[in-house]
Amino acid sequence: MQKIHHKIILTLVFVFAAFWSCKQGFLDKVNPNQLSVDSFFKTEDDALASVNSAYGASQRLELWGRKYFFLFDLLSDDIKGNDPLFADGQTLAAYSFNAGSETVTDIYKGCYRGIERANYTIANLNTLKDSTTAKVLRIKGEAKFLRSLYYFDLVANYGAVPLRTKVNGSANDLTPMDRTPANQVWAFIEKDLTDAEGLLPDSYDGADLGRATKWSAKALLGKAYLYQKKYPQAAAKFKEIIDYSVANPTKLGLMKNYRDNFVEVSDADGSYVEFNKESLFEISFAGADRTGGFNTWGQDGSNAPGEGTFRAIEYGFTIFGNTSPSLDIVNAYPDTDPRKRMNMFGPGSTYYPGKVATPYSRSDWQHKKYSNLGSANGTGDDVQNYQGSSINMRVIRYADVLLMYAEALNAPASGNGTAFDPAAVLAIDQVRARVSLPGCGASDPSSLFSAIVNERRYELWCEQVRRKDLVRWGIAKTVLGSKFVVGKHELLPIPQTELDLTSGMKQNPGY
Amino acid sequence: MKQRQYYFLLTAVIGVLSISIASVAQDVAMAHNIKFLQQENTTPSQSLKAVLKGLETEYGVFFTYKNASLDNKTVNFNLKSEGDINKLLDKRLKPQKLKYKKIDNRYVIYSEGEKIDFKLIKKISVKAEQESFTTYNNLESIPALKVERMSIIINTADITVKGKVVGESGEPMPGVNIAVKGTATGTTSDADGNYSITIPDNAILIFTFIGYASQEIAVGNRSVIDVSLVPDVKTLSEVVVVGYGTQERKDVTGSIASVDIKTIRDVPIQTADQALQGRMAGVDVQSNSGIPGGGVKINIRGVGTTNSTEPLYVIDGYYPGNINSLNPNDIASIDVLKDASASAIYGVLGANGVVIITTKRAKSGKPTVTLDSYWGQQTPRHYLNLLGNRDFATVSNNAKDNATIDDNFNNFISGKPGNINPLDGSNRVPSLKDLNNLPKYDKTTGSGDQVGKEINTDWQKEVYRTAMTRNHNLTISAGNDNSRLLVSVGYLKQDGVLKGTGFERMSLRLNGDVKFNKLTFGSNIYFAQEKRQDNSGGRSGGATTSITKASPSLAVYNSGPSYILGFNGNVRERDGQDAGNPLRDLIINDQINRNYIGLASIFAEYEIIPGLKYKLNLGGDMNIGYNRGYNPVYVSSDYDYRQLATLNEYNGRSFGLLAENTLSYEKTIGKHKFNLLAGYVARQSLFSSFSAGKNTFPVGDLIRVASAGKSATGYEGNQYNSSQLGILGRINYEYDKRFYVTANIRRDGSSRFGKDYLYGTFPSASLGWRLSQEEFVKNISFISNLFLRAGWGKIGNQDIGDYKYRAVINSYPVYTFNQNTLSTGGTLSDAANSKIRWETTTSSNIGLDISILNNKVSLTADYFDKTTSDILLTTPIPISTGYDGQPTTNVGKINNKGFELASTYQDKAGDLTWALGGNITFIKNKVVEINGDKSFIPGAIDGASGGSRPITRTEAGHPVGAFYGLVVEKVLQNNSEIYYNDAKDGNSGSTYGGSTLKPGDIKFKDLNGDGKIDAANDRTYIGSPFPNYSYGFYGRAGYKGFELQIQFQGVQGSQIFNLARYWTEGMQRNFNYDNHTLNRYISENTPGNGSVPRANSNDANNTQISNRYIESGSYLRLKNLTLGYNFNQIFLNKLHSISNLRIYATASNLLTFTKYTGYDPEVGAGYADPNNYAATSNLNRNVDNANYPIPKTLLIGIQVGF
Repeated sequence: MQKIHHKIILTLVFVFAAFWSCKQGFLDKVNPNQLSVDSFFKTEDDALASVNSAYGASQRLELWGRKYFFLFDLLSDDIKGNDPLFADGQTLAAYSFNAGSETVTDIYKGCYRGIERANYTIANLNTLKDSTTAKVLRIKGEAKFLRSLYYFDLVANYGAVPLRTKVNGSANDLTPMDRTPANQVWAFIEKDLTDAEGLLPDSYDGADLGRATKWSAKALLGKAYLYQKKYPQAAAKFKEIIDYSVANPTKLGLMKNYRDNFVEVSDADGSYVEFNKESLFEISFAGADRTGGFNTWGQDGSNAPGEGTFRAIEYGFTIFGNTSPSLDIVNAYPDTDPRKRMNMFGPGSTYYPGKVATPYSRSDWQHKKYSNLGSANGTGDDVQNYQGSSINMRVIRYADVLLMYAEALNAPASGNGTAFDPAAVLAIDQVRARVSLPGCGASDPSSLFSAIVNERRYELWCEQVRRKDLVRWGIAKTVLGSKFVVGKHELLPIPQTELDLTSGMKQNPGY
Repeated sequence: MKQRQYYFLLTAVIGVLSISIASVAQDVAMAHNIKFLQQENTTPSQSLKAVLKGLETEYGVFFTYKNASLDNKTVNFNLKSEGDINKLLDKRLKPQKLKYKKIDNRYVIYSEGEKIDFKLIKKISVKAEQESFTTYNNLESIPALKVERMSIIINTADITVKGKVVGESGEPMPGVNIAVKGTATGTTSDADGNYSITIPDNAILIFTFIGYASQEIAVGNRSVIDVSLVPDVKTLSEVVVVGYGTQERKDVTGSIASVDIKTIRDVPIQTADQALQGRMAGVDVQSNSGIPGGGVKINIRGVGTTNSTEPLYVIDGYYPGNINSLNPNDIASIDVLKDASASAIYGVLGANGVVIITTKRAKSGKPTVTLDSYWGQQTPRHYLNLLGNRDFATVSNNAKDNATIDDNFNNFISGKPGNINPLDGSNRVPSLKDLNNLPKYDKTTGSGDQVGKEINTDWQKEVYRTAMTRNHNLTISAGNDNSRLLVSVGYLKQDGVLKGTGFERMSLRLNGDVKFNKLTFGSNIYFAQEKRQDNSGGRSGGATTSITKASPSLAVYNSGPSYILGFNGNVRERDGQDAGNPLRDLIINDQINRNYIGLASIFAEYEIIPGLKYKLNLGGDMNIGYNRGYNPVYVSSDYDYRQLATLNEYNGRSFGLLAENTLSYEKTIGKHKFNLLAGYVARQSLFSSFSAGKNTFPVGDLIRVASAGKSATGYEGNQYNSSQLGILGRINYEYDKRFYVTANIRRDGSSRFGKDYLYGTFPSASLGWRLSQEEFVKNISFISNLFLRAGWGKIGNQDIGDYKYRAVINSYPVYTFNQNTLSTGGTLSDAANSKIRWETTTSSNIGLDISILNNKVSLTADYFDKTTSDILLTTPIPISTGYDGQPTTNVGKINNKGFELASTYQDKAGDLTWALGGNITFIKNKVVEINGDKSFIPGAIDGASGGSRPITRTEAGHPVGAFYGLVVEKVLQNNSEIYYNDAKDGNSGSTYGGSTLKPGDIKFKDLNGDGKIDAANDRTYIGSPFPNYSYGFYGRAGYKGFELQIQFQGVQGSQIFNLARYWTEGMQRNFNYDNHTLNRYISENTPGNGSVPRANSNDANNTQISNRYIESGSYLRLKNLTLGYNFNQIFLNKLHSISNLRIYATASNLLTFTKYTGYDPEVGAGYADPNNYAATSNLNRNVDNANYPIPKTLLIGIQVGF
């Protein structure tokens, strides 16, 4: 009997001990439903997926998927809002928006979403087994480019913003951050883009087409210098691009057809013209049928191809018609400029419902840029049927670089430079020559500046640069009228929710 | 299948019953006294007994007889002259009216007509070595081994026993039943408690009295037997189950409430709420729904968090258990640990309180079999007063006309059924347009005499029914001091009062105990299968809501040639809010949810040295949930059809494991008494699920398996697992029965916590001082007990979801390169909170226990203050972090303060005994902090307009889930009232969302005085779902065999948001209305009752979330009324084997006193996940969207014990 007792006690002690010993790791449970941060970012492919998501942020509704074009077009004199325009859009057109504006908040939010994804990519590249392979270095360059792209719109439009550069892994790191002075943000952008220049390749093939290149980085860096009025640096950076174009005209340069920049396939020959040689960076949208997926517009949460943009539907006169070209632009755009009818439908235009050229019967002017209506590939009812567009949104193209180069060279007119530079006129005339227009004929800094202002307006109409240009040049009030309050509207307000959650954060003046 | 299972179970029950009846019958027969006898001698008359003695030696036989039967009997007898003994006996005994029977060589002599158990006698005659007659006092006392060669005389002299029955404190007890065990003899005590009874020698007397423990007393040689009866449950020696042990009720220093098991033992409990609701102070119990098997929601001492407030259920030491899947018949006791000082021993599981349930176990002694069956019916308590077809048409036309006028006849509102008919210049629904030509039954929609009459469907009558319910429970218990087993088999079938709903449960329990010297083993094994049918499409917003919307001018059936399944449907376009044909949806759909539940635990306890015990407790539970929903094709009209049959199946499996080691030591040194406990606990749970759907099934709906479906509609699966480790310790110290100290500590680690907070420590302590042991109280004679308690503790709530602390990768954000090349993606999903941890509840408690007048009256009062901090809430984060989702962080704080009072009183007079009890709870619930005092949590979404206007808000300074909306000022009576003076913007006055008001519209209060009514500035808190106090009281009375139980329960001061009225009084859609709309504003001359606005199908104002829908939620409910009759022992003895027989009738929810106009003031939880009947939100408490009503129940039952 005694023996049995001992055995029982031993068994119990054993069981007891067994439970003690399983303590190690017993409480460490891994989520089986989703990849854990601990198991991700182990390979080059993970790194690539991560940077792809940073690109993906640009497609979202808050940015190029929808709000980006609304915000910057409505704040410029490129377009006018029509009656069905959403209420928040109306406040933009009227410059009566405040810190609660949904659109102003969305751009801010969309940019930071991209920044967070880029930060996550950059922060984790160092944890890879080999973080020096060509691909990893390229990914690093891409992430830095993207981060700069997003910060650019923040600093250029909101001024000082929180400069978040590290990965925010957990809620407790999500503490509010006050605004970082704009010059520091600019410096950070310069640093990132300088790094990216060195890390990125000249071009891509096949499946990688559309990733940021060395030239994307240089163009954005030049633009960053220009916005900071660092004209010599800007001119030097643009010059590098122009020199490359001269040496490699098939790789980089103006497209023969102006409209090839706003369609998927060329009106001229039906060739595929996205990611063309003029494009230095564009936001890629795709639909299986090149019309944009109905269910996936503006999302990056889809597993199916077909992320479309709202551009065609929102501006399309056959359906939503939220905006039209402003009367100013219609009146100012010389009829002799072929770009006018390439960008707009007007009396006498034709378009292609059902791929048969049909007379445009309206008496007003409507959007043609970035529209499938009138595109060789599109059909007349595309917009109605699919509500989305898969035409890529161009962010920087070579024509823009040429014009920015001219502006940098003509710095004196902007108040900082010294002398008239004929190279600037050459750059502008290149852009004009493409659409068979005569030279601009500028002969002094002042007339050159006027030429730049006009050329940018006509060449880059509705490409979301106008408002930034006007502000940059200090002529916004002159152009936009009294609705633009000097000292206030140069910057957008910091979103109210951000202010609410960050004690001590100061709003931009006037809001 | 269903039928077969039922019969199988029935057969098993009958089989077990027959065996027990047979064996028990035998026992009873044995117990009958036997009467025997015998014979003579030749010469003159001799004593018959003496003659028999002589015959014994002469013939070598033995005699057995009853002593008394042969007294004074003489015979003439000459031994020598006689030959055959049989003839001899024949001749002598017959004249004496005596008979005999030979068994082997034994003659049993007995009186004519007397029944003798010859089998027993044969059994006794075994073998022995004794020659002469032996006298025994009864047959059973004969030592069997010595009997074979012995003649037996049984003494049966009747004696008279007298005595007095008194109660515990010596008071005489009249009306006590006194029965002789095993006979039909009995009496009752008189007014002074005296009794006198003539009984056979050595009988056993049984004293029984309702409310008192029955006593069996062997009479022996005594002629005077005084008896003192003891109440059945002595309050003071009651034992309560605390975590990891038991304690005497009187010594408990924490706050523990127990269900007085007497109050539920004899009441049929269909659902757990009936065992708990209104029976304990501070324990708020609500049925989730009136749907059978809907389960309960329990809040202990208020709603302490916006997350789950489910208490921990500990069932026979295993946790977490599930009270809803338990067979309520198996429950032996329910104890609720209410405050932290009591529940802290359960660490991170104890914050919402702990409900400890102990199931029945076998006792040593004679095997018992108990069968308890009841049958009954349930009916809806209350119907809404909805309109008939003519009234409906009138209001509907009025609504459309008003909308048309508002719209200036131009703009017709699209998307609203019944609104559109621009061609005839009217918005009216064509079929209702002309009151003289309302829809009539035709040959396809009506039958016989219906044809040609106006259609007037009462949908409530069509879908509600009198539902049958039945329950059978068989408990067999047997065992001795060393091993015992209890087997309980239960079967419950409940149809729902709403057609297409029902619940069925089969359960089996095996509880065993084995003692092996110092080692004790025990096991608890429970299996149950539950089957729920629920075609109602959800307990809120499903069929019960549709019924209130369905048009009375829609016929139920339609046998038209194209009408598949024969149900009629709406003739106008549906828009998703329509009711359709509610009966059809309840009948043709096939939604079944099955649960297979198993729970097994074993424990071993070893006493190492006296007082020192080691206990190992191991257990596991599983729950396999299987849902299947089949929705067939139907065509009920051109607009109301389902094209593809769909089948969806869901399979969820959860497994839990628990291992606990505890060491306890008990020691008394002089006046010091210690009880120490230490333990180590490991727990783990795993869950996985898989679901899939298909559509397009063979015509006829006969084949309803997935393989028969043509196309898959989707499939998914998930897995979750979690684990927990803990160490615990407790000290109970008692000094001189005067001072008591309890201190607990538990340290828990959980897989749900972030690395930095992997372990939490939860201490608690409580003190008690028995004032009644002190000299200054001892002298107060009427005080029997006075005990002052105080406690404090800190506990955790780990019910925060799995994996919250670890960030995961979202691989959805992809990008398209090269025109159409879809890339892979992967980035941080929403921000995770690595510092996520338990919610902490800190509570203090002060209590007083008083018993006076010899414990006749007892009273317990408690005051508590409980604060839950670190409540997990989603927190807004700066946009610049770049995350979309809001992480959950430990930020909120909620306080509950309350006062509880519970009292019982028991007494008796004559044959009447009674007990009264009651409890009342006052709780003040207040949110202290949400996200650093800045924001609020929106609660239930109105759902009615498809909009997203929350009905409730949870904000600092207010109760959790307080109602929030506009305030009605009045119904505008005429145009001049529209323009009011405080309109600062010079506009026409109050507007909402830009719509201009007309006479008959509601004017809401302009709270901020800016001249316009808007959601941003004019909404305020308009009600609280919490009562000022809730209460329950009961009475119990016994008179002879009758007993009456009555229990009331109620709440006072709560409000209900009657969301159903959004539809029934909104008058904005072509749905049915309730009869309040007959008092609507029609014109200045017919302004109605002044509170119901005009009908307007284009309304954007009157139906705003406002206090228009707020009603008082106060109610008092006769929760239970039971009348039972216990057949007394004397009667039962005539039935032989039956030892206990009771019949009863019960009514539940029989009467409800309330002003609430909805189905039931006990709203139950609003929307809940149908796969998880326990999960409900505290944020939408008392939002009633015509929730499934709680029915009224009438039952009759029988309890039979063998």
